[in-house]
Amino acid sequence: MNKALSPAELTAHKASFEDGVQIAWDATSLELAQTCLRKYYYTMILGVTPKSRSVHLLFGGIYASALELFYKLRAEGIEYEAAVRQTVRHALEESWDREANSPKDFNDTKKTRPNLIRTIVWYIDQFAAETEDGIKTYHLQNGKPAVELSFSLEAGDDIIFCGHLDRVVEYGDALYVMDQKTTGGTIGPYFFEQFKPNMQMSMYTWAGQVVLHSPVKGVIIDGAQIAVGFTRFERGITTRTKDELQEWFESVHYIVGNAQAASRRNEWPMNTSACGNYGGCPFRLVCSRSPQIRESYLRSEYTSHVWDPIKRR
Amino acid sequence: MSDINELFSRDPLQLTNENIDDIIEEMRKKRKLFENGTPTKKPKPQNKKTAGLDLEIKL
Repeated sequence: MNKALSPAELTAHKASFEDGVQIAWDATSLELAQTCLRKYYYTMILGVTPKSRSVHLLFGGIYASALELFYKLRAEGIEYEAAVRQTVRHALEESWDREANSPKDFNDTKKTRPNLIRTIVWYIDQFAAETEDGIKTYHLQNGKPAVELSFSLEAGDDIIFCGHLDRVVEYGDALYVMDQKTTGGTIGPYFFEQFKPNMQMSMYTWAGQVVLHSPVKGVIIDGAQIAVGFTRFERGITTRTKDELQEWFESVHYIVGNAQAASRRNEWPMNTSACGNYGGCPFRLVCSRSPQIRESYLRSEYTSHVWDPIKRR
Repeated sequence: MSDINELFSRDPLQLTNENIDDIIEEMRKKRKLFENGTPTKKPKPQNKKTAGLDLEIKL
């Protein structure tokens, strides 16, 4: 850890921090603080990420942004095929390395660039049609479609919860936030079990209710299994009761308080029971080295990456 | 129709709307094949038994 620089110095450029203490929190930073304070320190305070970017983040990020764009274009009245074309073009551009003048390196047998485009086209053709008895984009009181909703909400104790809802939909007699997930494995019922309890889904539900002043019931998750020769989709729903959201809200304040205290002390204990989660922590190779050589390892294998939750997309 | 692999290797800023439509059409063809149950390529399964024997020999 860079003890030479304090958290205040390291985060002076970040709007989500005051004197080294994070005050604006999104689901990503909350999950980091909940999982391991050392991982939180590397990501949010020091602001570094592995040089070799995870293909899952690359693939999933472009996929989500492409579908968000599609729904935004349709909400603006763009004709279906034109919207598909613009969406595919967007994904091709986002997956192109302009400096190298070549496609970005996906380095995976399933989550490849062509399979990304395939998944986008297949998803749109399967799910995009809005029908009276199916899922429809919700419209706000001002008539605008509920797409690309960024939020920054006071959550007490001088804390702000912020984030971004890609789309809110009506399904049956309820409102839901929509989210997309990709995986290389088969999607069974167990796939959707991971979303309860879950920080991101609880925050989306809570934020949806506050932003829309309406009872958003939960999140509809469209899972996409990315295989070598096909993509298969499964849809699941995770809901939250009022009591569950209250419990989540109180837990989050505890997690935030813990992280803020760590910032003030500049002490960042490792949670070594989390090192193996999700294929292995991206900082495992740092923490497994002796403290004296970690800084040089960070400099050679990691690159600067600023994650500032309150900055709108 | 342009070769799909060639289109994917081109700078997207150089792609015309027709090129993008070709890519979309190709993806839709693949979907039809998949929905009709046309077998997709599977990676060759590893001979685990042989691999196990190799390990024993090495030991």
